[in-house]
Amino acid sequence: MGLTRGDGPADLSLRAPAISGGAAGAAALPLPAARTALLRAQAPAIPGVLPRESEAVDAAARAGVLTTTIGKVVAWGRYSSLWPSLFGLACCAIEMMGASNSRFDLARFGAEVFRSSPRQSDMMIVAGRVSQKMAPVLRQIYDQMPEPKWVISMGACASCGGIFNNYAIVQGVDKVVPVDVYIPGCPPRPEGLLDAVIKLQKKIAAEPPTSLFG
Amino acid sequence: MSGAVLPPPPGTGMPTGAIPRQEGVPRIRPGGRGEFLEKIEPSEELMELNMGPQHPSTHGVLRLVLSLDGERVRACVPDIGYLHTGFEKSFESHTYQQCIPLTDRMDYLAPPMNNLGFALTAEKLLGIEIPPRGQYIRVIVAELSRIASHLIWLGTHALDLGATTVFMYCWRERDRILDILEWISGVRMMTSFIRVGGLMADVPAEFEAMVRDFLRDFLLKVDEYEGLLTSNPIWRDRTIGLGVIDAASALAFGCSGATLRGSGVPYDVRRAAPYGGYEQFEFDVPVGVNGDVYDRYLCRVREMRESCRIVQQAIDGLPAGPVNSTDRRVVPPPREEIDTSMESLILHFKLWTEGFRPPPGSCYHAIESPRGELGFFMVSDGGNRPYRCKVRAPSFSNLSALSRMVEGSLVADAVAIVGSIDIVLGDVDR
Amino acid sequence: MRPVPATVRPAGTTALACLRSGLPDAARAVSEDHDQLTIELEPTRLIDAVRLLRDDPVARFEMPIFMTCVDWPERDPRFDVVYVLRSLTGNDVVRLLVRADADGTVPTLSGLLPGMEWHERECYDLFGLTFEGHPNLRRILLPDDWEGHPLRRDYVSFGEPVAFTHNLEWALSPQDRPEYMPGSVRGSVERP
Repeated sequence: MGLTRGDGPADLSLRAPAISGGAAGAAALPLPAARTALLRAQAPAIPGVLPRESEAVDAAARAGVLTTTIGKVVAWGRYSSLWPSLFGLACCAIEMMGASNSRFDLARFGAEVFRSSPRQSDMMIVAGRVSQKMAPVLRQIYDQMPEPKWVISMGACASCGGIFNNYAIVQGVDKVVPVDVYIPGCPPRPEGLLDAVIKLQKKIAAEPPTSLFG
Repeated sequence: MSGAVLPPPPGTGMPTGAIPRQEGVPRIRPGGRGEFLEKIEPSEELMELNMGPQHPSTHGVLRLVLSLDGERVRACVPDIGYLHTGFEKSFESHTYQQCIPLTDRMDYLAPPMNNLGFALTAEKLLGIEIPPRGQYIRVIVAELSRIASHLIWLGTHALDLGATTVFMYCWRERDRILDILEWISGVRMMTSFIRVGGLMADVPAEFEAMVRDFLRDFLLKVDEYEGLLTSNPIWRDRTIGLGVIDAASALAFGCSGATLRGSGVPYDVRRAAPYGGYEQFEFDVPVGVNGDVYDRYLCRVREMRESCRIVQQAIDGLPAGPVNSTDRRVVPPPREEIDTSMESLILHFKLWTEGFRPPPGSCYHAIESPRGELGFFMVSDGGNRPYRCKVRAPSFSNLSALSRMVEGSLVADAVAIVGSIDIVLGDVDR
Repeated sequence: MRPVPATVRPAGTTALACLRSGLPDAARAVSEDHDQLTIELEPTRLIDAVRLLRDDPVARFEMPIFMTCVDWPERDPRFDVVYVLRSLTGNDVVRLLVRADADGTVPTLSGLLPGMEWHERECYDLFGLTFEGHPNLRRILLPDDWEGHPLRRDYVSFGEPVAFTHNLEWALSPQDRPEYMPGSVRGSVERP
């Protein structure tokens, strides 16, 4: 669980500079363990550096240069530090608090700081049932969040009204705010919220770079 | 700190040692509520500040309209209804057993308690009794959920006042309780385990070991929380003498639970009108003295210890036998019987399509939820759905006393006081 | 902890005794159900009866538990207004009942027992029953501009029909739906 460097949704692809000569196109690849040992042997002076795919890339990394696209870096920044806005309404809020606690630990996905002020947050987790009286408040809080912002609708009541198909509950918060990820469950397990945050991170990573400019 | 005043170290100009008392400068007493603020003349201009409904410290969607004179609260009017779900209307269109999952979602910090209250009231209407094993397991589940609810209260209350560590620690224990609930019912929170006529099913074999395991460590954990808070001067400074309500006012507002017991009134429904097997267990009911936030905190922490005592007694004396009532009009027959007996098949069918029909009448039954007296007033017209089921929510009455408690205190203290009455908005608004 | 007096059976006996001795004509009828007494009072004597129960040194019904309404629409008067009070010293619970119709008013108890103030507001909100003399009779649980009183039996409560094959219009997005959607009107009046 958790995003490690290798399996992140947007691993910064390292484009090797043009290689002159035959180092890359050389003979058959040795066995992985032996190759790692070979690369490690080639770069002993920089401890902690992961083995690179080729010697030239390794040299570039040693110089502190990586190449990627702006979109990928911005997306990486955005999804790695999603600050949720405190919008816990009912029972799902308790599981949301549980997800931010030590066993499930939402913080390792960057979403540790639950901002009370919507002006300082970029993700709204609507956790719980939205009553008719609360709906305008929900919209107002959503409007107060600065762009870019995303909404996770946590739980059955937020997604579709849940078990309360009656006069008092708004049948789904997508009638009030646009939703990016829906989490079913009543309440969803904290792992469900973690899965939703990861899905949202993948969605943000896939967003086109034009979204940078509004 | 010694009384001597040391000269400032060279080059700093900052005094070290005891700060000398200067003449004429008012000094805030530890435990005092900024009494020098009293010397400032109250102005005629009051500022209206809206606290909530989206607020980190209102424990849900509660809106407090505060009239402030500087930092002092002159009036506090709670505005509720932001979580009104129409439970009572929904009860009228669901059969009794279908209402049980609805009741889970009312007081969502201790869902088995709501199940228990509803089930006991319906059983009173039906006139059926639960066998001892079912009663003992209900008591264990209810008391575990009381501990879980108090842990959330303690964690969030401490978090509001700045003690984030306690928040993390309380959830660690609560996850263990939720593991037990998940093991027996399949769901962490909204278990619907306690149903009309008994339980969802008998507990699995590992239940006893899990509960004993939990109990073995839990009292030490409560010592840990108390070690962090009870003698902590910051905690005491922020809670003692705050949000005081006297016993007569608390009674007149209909307060119950620790909100009432903190003011010195020893009222606990488990003692006054024992239900569901509680008369067999020995436990104390902690009562406060001053009716302030600190006393309510002490009451609830000690209630956690008493709940452990009850669970220990219950798990030690857990009898064998069936867990559900034998009344076939209410409790479905066991699976094997349905294959052999036509009558059982018909009863099963009728229970699933229609549900059971209590005789016409009305009944009020109360239980002691973590918040106070949780009561169900059920009216039956002989049909398979409750004609009217009114939920007497303890948080609703406790919250009506809030304006009395908050007036005169500072804004920051309003946060502490709201936390101390332990409200759940699902309970308030239903 | 001082011992709690034994629970009174049937519940409400001390209240009945207190009323019979203090205000003999206040109680109109007494019924017993599941070991609990329900004392029906004359609406005009409600305040006096509650004051007597509260102030009587033996009875001391000082704690308001709740008040609510039960709606029997075929009956006239339609509302059963139920008050439940508790006495801690006597360890007793009493249920008082007053009948009221939808247009009538019931005197408020919030002057005697402040805890009833919010319960009466909730009754007003959900049933439409007005309380004479209430300091703050506004809606409490529903938005202030809500029309209708949901807990009345003739109020149709619905959220949204679930979209099955026979009403698939509900599964369409709002711009594609036809103008009049069956079941789309809240409340008891079906407007075209």
